Amino acid sequence: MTGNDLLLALGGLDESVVLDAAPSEKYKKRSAGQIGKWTVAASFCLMLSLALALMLSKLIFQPIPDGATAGGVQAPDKGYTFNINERVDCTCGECFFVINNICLTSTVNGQLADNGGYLILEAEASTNHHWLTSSDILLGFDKTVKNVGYVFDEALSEKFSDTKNVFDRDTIEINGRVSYIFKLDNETYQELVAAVLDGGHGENVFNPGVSWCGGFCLYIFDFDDIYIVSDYQ
Amino acid sequence: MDDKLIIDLYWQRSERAISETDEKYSRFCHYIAYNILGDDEDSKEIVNEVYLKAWNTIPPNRPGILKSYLGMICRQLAINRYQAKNAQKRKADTPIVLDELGECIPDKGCEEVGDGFALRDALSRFVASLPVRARRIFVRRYWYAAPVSDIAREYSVKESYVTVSLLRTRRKLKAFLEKEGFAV
Repeated sequence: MTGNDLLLALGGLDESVVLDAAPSEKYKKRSAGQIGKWTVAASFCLMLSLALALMLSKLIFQPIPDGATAGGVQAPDKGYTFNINERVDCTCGECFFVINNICLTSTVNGQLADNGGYLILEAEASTNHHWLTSSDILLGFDKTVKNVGYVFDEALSEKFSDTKNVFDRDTIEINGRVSYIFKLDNETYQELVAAVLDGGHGENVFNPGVSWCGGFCLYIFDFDDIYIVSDYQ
Repeated sequence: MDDKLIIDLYWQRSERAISETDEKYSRFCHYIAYNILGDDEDSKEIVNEVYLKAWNTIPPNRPGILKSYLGMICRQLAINRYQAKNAQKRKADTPIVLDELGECIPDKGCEEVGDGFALRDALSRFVASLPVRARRIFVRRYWYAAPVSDIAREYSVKESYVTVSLLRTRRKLKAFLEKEGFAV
């Protein structure tokens, strides 16, 4: 059997499946001339956008305030108290954000909690966080969660996409940003942390062979300490 | 014009069937042919061959869905044309698509049980078992031979998402084919 055999055999797929994946009616005939024209137009627009973005960045971008992590995350009225111990600049080269308490290769007291943990996903943008002003971050909640799960592992992804059964969902405000907080069952939590520890920041976890730009912020808490996975643009 | 009426025109042997088909489905067929061949002129020829093939096969056939019927003819003709020419000189993604599908071939340890029908049946079952989005991405890539960038744009996701989705689906397919007993 060869790839060609598979290609030919795929021709026998059920027509409803084929039609379901059919391109939208927007497609057009392409030719070398058309491609060239659009490429030039797209390049021009890109350059214009970049120039505009550079100008705006000087006006809009503000540094992330030091107070962002100083006090930790506390919501005693909701029963949550998370401490953020230190602040380290991310060195992944792809983002320019702050990692709060870089503990990706260690665990609390040498071992993980055995009764679950918390996951926090930022949900809303704040004007003083320029990396959240991208349209990419304006993802719907479910899409965000699904994407987060997706980059880890398929099995985990399924769990993430079925949040009703796995998580207790609540919201919390972190540094002025509304975030979703999930209480993870132990199995999911262990799986998530293992994926993080296995891949490390910006490596296998978020870049399984390709560049990943999720546009979200993801934290994992182990009760007393915070394990931040990524602040990605 | 409604597909049923177009098919009726074929059955009446009215040449208007061709013009109506061209009006409605030339872009669709060209899209498929171009994805596979990467050449505008060749693709236009294929589209014309599709009409001829449709003319010669309707009747006796009466397709349930004309669009998919034409698409399948077009895909097959384009693949034949592709194979008849030097693939390496082409601009299309077909060589990459073939390489990617080659990853799905089980390594060893399986008995050769696959004839064409069994393989098609297995693939249909596999594709039907996929989640909707993964299935659409897979079919768009390996049935329509669409570039990753097109797929990402169509489904409003990043190219990396499409790439990873395809990678995982190929791995699943390989495991599935091994389980089904297909071998090289």
